[in-house]
Amino acid sequence: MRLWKKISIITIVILLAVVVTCSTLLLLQAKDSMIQLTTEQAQTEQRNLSTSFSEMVQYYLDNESKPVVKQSGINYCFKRLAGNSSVLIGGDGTIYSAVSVKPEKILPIDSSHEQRTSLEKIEGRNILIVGSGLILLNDSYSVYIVKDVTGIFNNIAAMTWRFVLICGIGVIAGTLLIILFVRKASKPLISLQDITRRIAVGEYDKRAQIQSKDEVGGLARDFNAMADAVQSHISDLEDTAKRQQLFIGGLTHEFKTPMTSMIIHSDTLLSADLSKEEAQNSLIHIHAQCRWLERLTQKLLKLITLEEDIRIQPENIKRLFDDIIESTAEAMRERNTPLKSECNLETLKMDYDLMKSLLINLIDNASKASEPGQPIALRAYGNTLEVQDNGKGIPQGDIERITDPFYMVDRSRSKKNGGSGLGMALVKRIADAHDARLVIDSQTNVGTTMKIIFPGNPSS
Amino acid sequence: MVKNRILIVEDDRAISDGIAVNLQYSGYEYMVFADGQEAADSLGADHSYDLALLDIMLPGIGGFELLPYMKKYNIPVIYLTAKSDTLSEIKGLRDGAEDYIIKPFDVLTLLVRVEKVLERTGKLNQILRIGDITLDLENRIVTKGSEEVVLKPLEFEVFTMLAKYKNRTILREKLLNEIWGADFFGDTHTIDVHIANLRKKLDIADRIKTIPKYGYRLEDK
Repeated sequence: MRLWKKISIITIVILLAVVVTCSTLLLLQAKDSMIQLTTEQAQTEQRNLSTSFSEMVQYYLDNESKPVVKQSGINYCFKRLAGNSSVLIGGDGTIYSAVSVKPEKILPIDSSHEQRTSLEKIEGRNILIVGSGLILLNDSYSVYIVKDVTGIFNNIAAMTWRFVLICGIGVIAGTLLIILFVRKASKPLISLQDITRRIAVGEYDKRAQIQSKDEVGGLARDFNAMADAVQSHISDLEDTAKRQQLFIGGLTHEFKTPMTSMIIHSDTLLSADLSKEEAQNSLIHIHAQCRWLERLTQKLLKLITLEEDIRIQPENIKRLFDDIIESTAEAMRERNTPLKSECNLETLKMDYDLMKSLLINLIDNASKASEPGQPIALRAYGNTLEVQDNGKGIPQGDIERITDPFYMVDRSRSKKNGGSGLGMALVKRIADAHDARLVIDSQTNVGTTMKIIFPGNPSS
Repeated sequence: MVKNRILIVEDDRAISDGIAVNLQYSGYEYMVFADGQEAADSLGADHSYDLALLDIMLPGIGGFELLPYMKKYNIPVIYLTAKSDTLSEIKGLRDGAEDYIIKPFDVLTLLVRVEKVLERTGKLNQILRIGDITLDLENRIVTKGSEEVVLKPLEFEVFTMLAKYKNRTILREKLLNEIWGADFFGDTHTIDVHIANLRKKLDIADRIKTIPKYGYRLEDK
């Protein structure tokens, strides 16, 4: 069952119970007080009648009066005082009665003077009888007031119906209002549930639009914060997956060319009778491709396992530069590229071997981009290491992608030079492993400056 | 017999060498360019090619851009591509290339595709001669000396394959695939029956060599 239905039903039931109980109590109370009031009136009336009657009789008559006079005197006196509900009973029976009921039968009065009261139902009518005994001139009399109080009961019944009607309308109105408010209050929860479901099926950009300041609003804000976190993690994962897919795509592509020539040449050797020279040539090609694949896998392995055995510690830059110049000397001589170094730095924290490999990669790229004779500069200053050339530069659109694995600006030229398309990817990975930034500043036909900016403030 | 002349534009030396040696072995003439621009420029002086094998990623101008030059001189084109994504294949074919071959490919695939294109464009030699046997591909007639030898259709296909790629060992599975289609999963030994029939009918038991665990070879020297 929906929450709003539950809350509505419980509230309505409680409302109904309270209203019914209160109304019933109120009605009973009203009924009681009305009856009591009427009874008290009747009792007062009876007492007054009885007293007045007694005084009047004693005024007009005394024990000496003759029975006939006595009788008519009593009759007269009572008639003078009686109302439309008075009854006088003498020793011989009814002396005066204004009502059809015989009260002496229902409420017999003994000789005591005490007032008695009775409420009876006679022939479908509610009759209130109040009576008391009286001794006058040595004779016993009973004075009654008999009142038909059916009207009061009818009134109460009518009141009850009115109450039921009013309560009914009240309960219905209350019910509608409760449902309205509870639904309105639960609406944010329903929309939150809807959003949750949509996120669950992968619509990670959905957010709850709830402005209220209550707990639901708080829940929605927390929920949105959670959704933000989920979305950012998912997008990170997607990025990683995409990068890996691109990497594998590039790798597959990279493997296809050597595979093609290896298959062609081995196939030829297997199926055709080649001359010794032709067969030798095919074998040379196969061998060269195998070596190339070997180099490629070596670089790949380095790229993948780079972070596993990294050891960062302060290293002397001068020593690093001397080492690099020695390592690259032969290649630079072959390509006729002068390499100059400027070292204005003592030490930097780095993995020596990885940083050496990074700089050799940059120097290699710089010399390949340069014409013979164009110098390359290797510099260290502040917290920066840089390699600068005056070569042909990198087209603006390619700078962004140059660190993507297997990305080559000039594919065939790059391959001729033995490039794998992994060099800059490796540079980027090594820089990342040092928390250093790789900044590429390049202009076509002017030159390229590659900077490795280490974290922290520049030291002098 | 005039040899078919084929233009190869491929920047990877190992691949172009491999293609060239096989084309030569199968009796084609060839010309290799490693640069798209150079290939395009050379066409003005010499464009007597029956077919062009073009790599797509080339220095100078790429394979797709070379197509208009080839069309100008009516040279049918087969692309050699490492891009296995279908989009580029469709582009190549819709622009008027005859076929495409995805790298890596094996030699027989290359030769069969080359031949199919030559056949379609009517440039293929329809008469094959192996010793005293003549194979008329167009009319599907085989004659030995001056007498016609009646071959069953499948025997004819097998013999055609062997004759087209004479002096080359053909893998048993390849032979089956080229004749029955790529999805042949049956018993590869049915081929042995056809070979036995051919040896008997054509009296060339000594020329059709069985290479154990590999396939067959028709020798003609």
